[in-house]
Amino acid sequence: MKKSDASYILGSVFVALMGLFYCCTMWLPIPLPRYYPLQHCWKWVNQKGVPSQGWYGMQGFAFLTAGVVTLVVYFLLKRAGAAEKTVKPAIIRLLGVVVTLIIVICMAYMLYYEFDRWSILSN
Amino acid sequence: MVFLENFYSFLLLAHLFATFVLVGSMTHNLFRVVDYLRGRFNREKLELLYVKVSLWAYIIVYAIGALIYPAFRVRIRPEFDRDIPWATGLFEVKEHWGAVGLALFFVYYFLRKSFQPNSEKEKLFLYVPVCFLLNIILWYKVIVSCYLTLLKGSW
Repeated sequence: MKKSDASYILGSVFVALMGLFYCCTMWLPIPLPRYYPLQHCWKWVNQKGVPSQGWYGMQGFAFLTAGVVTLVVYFLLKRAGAAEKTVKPAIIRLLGVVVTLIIVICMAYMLYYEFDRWSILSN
Repeated sequence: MVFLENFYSFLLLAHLFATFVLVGSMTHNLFRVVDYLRGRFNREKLELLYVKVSLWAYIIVYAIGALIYPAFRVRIRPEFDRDIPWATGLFEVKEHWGAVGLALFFVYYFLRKSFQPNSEKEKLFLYVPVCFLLNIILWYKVIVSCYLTLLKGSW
């Protein structure tokens, strides 16, 4: 496999997983750390009535999990002897279309999630 | 006292200036990438330069944005939440898309560094859509940020 093919596959895996794991923080009640700017501390709970920021935890979770899985994919490709194999252009094209669709769906869901949460759609 | 509250205006200005660079370089990059779709590959080096400038500008914009977020959360956002909650909705989408944009930018840069658009055209099936998505994210962020700043940018 050419270096550019490996970069393409690993980049595709990483960015698709990052979008999916980020959406997982909206779909599932995953406990994530929140920053409390008035108290200058991090907590695992979401205290009502106190300003807090969950965005750092959400992106940290998405980047870390996507990074770890991409690393696993990298080692799996290496172990399977992918260095000697070639990737067909059709596979490269298909992967590009699938990854683009995943990212677009994730972005659309994020838009829907917030518009629904803040009643933008119902107003 | 909230983290970096005293430097909020200065950092917000720096955030704005870095955004000028980012939007300029990424929009120019989009025009060069559209050239690839038309079969014109004579300005590949310039296109790669735009990608490099855009990546660094995005990292700076992102870092400053993350630093001033606590002051925004405490001093400005409560008024949005109370008076115009739809504005918070627009802002939250901007933050989520911004995080996805960071991942897209890293992949975009490493992808571009590893391949030659003229000789590996099949890779444009990911490269071109990512370029369009990044421009959508950037322009959404710019328009929403300007609009929210018009509504209430400081305290």
